[in-house]
Amino acid sequence: MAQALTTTAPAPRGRRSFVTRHREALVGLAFIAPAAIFLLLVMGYPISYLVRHSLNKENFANPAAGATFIGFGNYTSLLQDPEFWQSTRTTALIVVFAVALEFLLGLILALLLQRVLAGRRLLIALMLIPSMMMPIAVGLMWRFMLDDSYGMVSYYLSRVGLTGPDGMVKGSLLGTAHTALASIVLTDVWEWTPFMALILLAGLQSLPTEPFEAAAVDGASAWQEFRHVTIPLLRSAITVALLIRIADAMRILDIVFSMTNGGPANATQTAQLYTYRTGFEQFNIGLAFAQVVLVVSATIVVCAMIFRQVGRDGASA
Amino acid sequence: MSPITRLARASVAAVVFALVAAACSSGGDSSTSSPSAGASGSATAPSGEITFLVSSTPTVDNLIKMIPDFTAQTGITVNVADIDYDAMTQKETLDLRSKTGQYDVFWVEGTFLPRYVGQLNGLEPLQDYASSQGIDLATSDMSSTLVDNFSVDGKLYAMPFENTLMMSAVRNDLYEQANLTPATTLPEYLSNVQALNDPPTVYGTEIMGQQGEPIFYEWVNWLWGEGGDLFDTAGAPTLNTPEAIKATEDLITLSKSAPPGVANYSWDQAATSFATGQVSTAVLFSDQTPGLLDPSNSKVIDKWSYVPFPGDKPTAFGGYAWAMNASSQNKPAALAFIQWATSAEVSKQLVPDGSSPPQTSVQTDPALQSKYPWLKAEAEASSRAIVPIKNTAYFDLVDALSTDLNAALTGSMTPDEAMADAQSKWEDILAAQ
Repeated sequence: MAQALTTTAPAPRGRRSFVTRHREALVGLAFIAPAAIFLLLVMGYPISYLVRHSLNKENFANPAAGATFIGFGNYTSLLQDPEFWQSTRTTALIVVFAVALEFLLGLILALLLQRVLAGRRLLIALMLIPSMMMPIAVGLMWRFMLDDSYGMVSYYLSRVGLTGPDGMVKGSLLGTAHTALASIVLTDVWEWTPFMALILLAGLQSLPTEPFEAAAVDGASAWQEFRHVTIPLLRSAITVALLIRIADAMRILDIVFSMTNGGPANATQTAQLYTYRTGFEQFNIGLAFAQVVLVVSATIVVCAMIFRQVGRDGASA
Repeated sequence: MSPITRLARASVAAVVFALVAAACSSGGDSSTSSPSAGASGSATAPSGEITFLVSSTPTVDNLIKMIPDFTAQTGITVNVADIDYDAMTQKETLDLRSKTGQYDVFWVEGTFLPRYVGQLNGLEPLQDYASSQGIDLATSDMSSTLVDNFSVDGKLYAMPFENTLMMSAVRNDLYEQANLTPATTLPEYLSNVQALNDPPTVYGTEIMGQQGEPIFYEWVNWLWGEGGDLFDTAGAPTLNTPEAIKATEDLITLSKSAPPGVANYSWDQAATSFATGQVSTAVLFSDQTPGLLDPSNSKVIDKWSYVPFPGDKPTAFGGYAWAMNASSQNKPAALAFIQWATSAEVSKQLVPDGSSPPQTSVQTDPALQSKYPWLKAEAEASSRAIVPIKNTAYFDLVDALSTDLNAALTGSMTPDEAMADAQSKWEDILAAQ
């Protein structure tokens, strides 16, 4: 009997155990396969087009010159281009500061809104107005409000001594490198904090009540409850909110274009604005596509890192 | 990690990829019109339907209002595709590259021609075509400088419509109060500006300091005024010369008598600062004249006048012209439209609203000059206005130089450093051509 068990069990058990262990995953894969295949088909051609042309020396406005395959020539020239690095650094600064502020303010807003019972829907609707506006319009609006001569914000800042000849900031808000960059960050925060708050509020409202009741029974303080119950349970919503906003902030173009056009002296030129200029002013398609590939790759890496970090935190929690 | 988790991560990454790629490929095309070139035009008769692509100015808006008259006269239907400037240049390039003839008539600047003619070979040689049809385009009524601005290798490719000059606008009342006369030399200009600087009531001047074309156009007048040039006779850049450095220093000097924020001023803000009475002197593009005459916009309607930019050296020309798409299927009708839009009769009708007419006969018409005094100054300045760069790398060159000029203006580079850097960048750009 014992011999029969040892001679017949291993092989079938191996096959069965794989199917058993991965049955759920395989069923899931079968369900999402059509959508995944469709996505790959729809995205496959544009992506291959993008990558293929990024390997060419090609100017769209000069058809006579044609397209010359130069391998990674565009990539190496970009990696040696100080303007590319400057625009990448500017993008990174905007993403880090804008998304961090949006997250903090959005979380505070979401926690406050959760406690509001009367008129919450109206409040949310009003709060979302900035996020529904076109970024180019938002940029123009803030450009005029920050204008040193007739801008309302500049006027009040000068009244409290922050700007003007005797103020903390002597120069122009949009004409000085640091304040111009800060203005763009704050404009992005103004537009997208409500969106962040909305996602986090949805997350808060979907949390189970039992862990909070248990925390209360255990005598947890409000801070302990927030730190050890709310935040861990809110991890999924936080991940989604951060991923969406980081991917979106890395594409920032319209606000910069309308507020500063990349100035002063390229201090606010983002990677997307640099790509836009390369592609649509100079029509240097090969180089512009190489920029897109690099920026997209960076975005994917950043998002993957966030995903991995959140996954680790979730596993260790 | 389970396969589902892997797939979920891959999906998120793919969506992120698609979002970013889509953003970069959208290019800000904001056109809402989707005109189709009329197919009914015959090869010889000026009839049928045409479409023109434009980024309108107040003068173009006024012309558009007159189109029903043209249609009534000729039977030609005109479709207008009016979009923002960047989108217009992109659409023009795409249409000329694809040679679909979607648009029959383009609105072009002189700086576009090297690309549109030299690289894309997409514009019809206008004078030649008109001659072949037995039509006189009346270029003899325009200065040879103006005609040259829209010619390549001696051939006219676009018919001048807006004679946009860089004029020195002065507040007559403030100059009278200070007992000053408008400057005729650069040192006088700097001196006047400093004498009239009385912030915050009124500043001495403004400058278009924004990175890109604004600061380039502002600066190049000073470069020429100081005796320098962008290129030597062999076509090599000459940006690190004493004249170029002095021109940059002039700009910095001017900025000290200008409102805060001029480092981010484009042409609109420059004109607004003058129209609202904030500055006493300004160098403005003359296509901003309608704004100075508009009671809802201007506080200086009866208090200003134009004088030519000081000196007798060239100034930057920023005007526009109508060009014909070589792939147009409606060339006779397109030519009829261009001929009408650039006729002296139409120009005269546009003058009261502040247009800058290209015809010498309109600029110098005594009756018009007495009623619309800016015409006299424009007539004087017209022969000096040239397209600053005629090179296929125009945008590359302007981007590189303007970044350094802006850096000098905001103090992050000295004029010497800025010009040395710009010189180096221009040499690289031109070497890569």
